[in-house]
Amino acid sequence: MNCQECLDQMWQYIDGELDVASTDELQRHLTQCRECFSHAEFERRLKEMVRRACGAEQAPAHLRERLTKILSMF
Amino acid sequence: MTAGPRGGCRPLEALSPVREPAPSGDAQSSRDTYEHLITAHLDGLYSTARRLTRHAASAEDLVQETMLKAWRSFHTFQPGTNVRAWLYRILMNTYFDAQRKQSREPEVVAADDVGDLYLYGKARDGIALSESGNPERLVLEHIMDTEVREGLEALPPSFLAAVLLVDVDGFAYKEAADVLGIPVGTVMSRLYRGRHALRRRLVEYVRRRRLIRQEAHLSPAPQAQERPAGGCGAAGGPAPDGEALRKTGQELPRTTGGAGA
Repeated sequence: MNCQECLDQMWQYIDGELDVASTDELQRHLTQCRECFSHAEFERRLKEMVRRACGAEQAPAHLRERLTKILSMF
Repeated sequence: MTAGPRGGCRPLEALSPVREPAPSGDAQSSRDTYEHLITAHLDGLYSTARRLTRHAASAEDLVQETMLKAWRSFHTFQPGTNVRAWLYRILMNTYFDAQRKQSREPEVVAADDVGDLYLYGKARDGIALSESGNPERLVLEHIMDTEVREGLEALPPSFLAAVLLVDVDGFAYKEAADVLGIPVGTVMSRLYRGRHALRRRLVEYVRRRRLIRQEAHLSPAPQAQERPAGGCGAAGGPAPDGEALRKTGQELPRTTGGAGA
């Protein structure tokens, strides 16, 4: 695997969407290429940042209460 | 190029989570089960709705409508169904239906608007960071959560939906495709383009803090040939028209909506 091939599959790799053989091949490249390794780490951390920044937002209590109240009417 | 159905979602009738009705006659039990589901998934649905609609009140309305639609067909629910994906499908359908009603204007995103700047490459070019030894890490640490949210919310809706489902909600490509009612390759394309667009916006945030030199703004987008010999230089990830997408047989969407949906 060369660097371009690694780049082409990097997001699939980070997303856990590559098959075992492709994952192994890409990981081998990452152990041999510092630039690609750094890039992969950067992308992984950025994805984690997006998840942290945008996920796990709590629904307002009044929304939960409203839904329960509406549901009780059925 | 104009957009088609931006969500590409199927009619709600196609979203029924079951193949045959569950035994009737136990309304209270069904309601209790449904309330348990609300408890389990409400926060996630609300988070996604919040990013999609950009407003708390609109997000509440969207979630409420989603839950009511789900309840109407919940009497046919069967254990073992991927109820989370089902709820997200209803949410996305409801959202994109509302989008279509609200706006007759086609959404246009020029292909050149995304992917031409890559945060990773820009980060590596940062003069202010170049002496730190780990410029990428510093860039990540200087981007605030509020900026990430703003950057996401500025994405075209179809890109935003793909990024939210995969990056935030943790759906696999296939699940996201099922939620949105589009092919896996289209999910990948929208996801990649959404990520590039988000990175482009984050670059602007970082640049404002003078973490990235102004000259970088004038330089061309990083290409593979810019890489140092034997290494992997600046780039931001697989190009949206890269080999990964070609393998799927999907054409790159050049607009946010109609592409491949």
